[in-house]
Amino acid sequence: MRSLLLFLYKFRAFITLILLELICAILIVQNSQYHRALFFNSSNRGIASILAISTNVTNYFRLNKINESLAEENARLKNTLKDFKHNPASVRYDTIRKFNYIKAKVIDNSVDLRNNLITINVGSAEGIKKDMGVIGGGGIIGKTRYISEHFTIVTSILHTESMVPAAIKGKVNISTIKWDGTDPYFVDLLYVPRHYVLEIGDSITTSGFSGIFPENIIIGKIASIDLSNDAPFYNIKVKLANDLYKISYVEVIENLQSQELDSLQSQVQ
Amino acid sequence: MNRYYLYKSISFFIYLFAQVLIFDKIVIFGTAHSIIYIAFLLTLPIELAIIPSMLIGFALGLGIDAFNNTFGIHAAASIILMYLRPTILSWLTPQGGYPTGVIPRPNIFGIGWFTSYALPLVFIHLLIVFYVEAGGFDLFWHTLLEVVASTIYSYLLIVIIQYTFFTKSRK
Repeated sequence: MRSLLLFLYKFRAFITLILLELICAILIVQNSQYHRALFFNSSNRGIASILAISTNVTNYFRLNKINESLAEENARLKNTLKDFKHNPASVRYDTIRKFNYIKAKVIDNSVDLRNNLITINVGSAEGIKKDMGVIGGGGIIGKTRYISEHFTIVTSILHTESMVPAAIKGKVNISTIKWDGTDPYFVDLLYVPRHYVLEIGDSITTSGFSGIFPENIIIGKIASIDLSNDAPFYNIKVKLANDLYKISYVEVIENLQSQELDSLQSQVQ
Repeated sequence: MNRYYLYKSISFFIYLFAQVLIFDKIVIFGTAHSIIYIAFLLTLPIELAIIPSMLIGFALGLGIDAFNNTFGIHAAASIILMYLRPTILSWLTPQGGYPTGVIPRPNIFGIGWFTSYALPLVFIHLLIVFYVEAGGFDLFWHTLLEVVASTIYSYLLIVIIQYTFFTKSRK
């Protein structure tokens, strides 16, 4: 017994090291495997309000750029409206309202890590739920992951686990957008079979299959196409339409039919 | 000594907030990250025992993780950093041993000594942070480039901070 205690005392530093590392390992694994919202993240109220103050200060210096992007968005919307007035038949619309948009402000953002997360200033009090789509800056941003009462953490499209069903406008309906973890301006387009004829500059949009994003939201344009002799699929790089360095206001998309869709899909499974 | 502890606990929070609110946003070419909070851990007193220093590393790392949404990665690296620190310090013991109550700063021991003390520790710390963050060795060379660039950049910033804010030697 005495020698055991002596042994423990002799290696006390090493034992402490192992214990503390175990705690860290549990924290890391819990986050990546079980997607569980823990106390230690930026949806925590205290941490989020400190980040919000800091963003308020830095946004003040970027007002020019924020105004510019809002003006661009306004012009785009007015153009669509004009087309609609001149030629109502050109715009397809459903009589049933499927999606509701909730405005949000980005209070924390990262693009340089391998798994990037974005914190926004709306939460369950504003009706945010898990796995809602987020768009902004003329492109897609990601989907909601951890929700607290007034803040939400969004899995950025620049996250190794992000996958978005995508379509090449007028050509391919089934493909997937995924980030390879290096350049924050480019993503990969996967699973496009080799028999399609593609061109650089083709528009990539959301396909609407997941129910998270409405269809026909612009993701980006094809920047490079590569096809090796024995591969069944193309290697395609897509340049994102929005610059994730610069996003400051985003919209969260609520699918008003998600309950119906979920219950139907669970019946099949 | 009590005043020293007060001063150290204030600087704990200054380093934490400086890191998460300012230095995390300064990333050069999307590759070189500025991780300066390590300077707080490196400049703890030499005779501080290993277990309290590991606990301090754990606390500071967890604080950084909470703001960065990295869930324990910085904490894990900081604990290993604090575990290795006494070993490196004992290798670098000057003739006649360390004076009591001394703090390992470049303006006390000289820049050459500080480089051989801090540079390996910063490198090991960032090696752990970036490879755990990447979740393995899929992008081995890209991650290694990030580690090397960040080590050089962070180390330079740490030295500049030491010379700017600590001109007098504090005891």
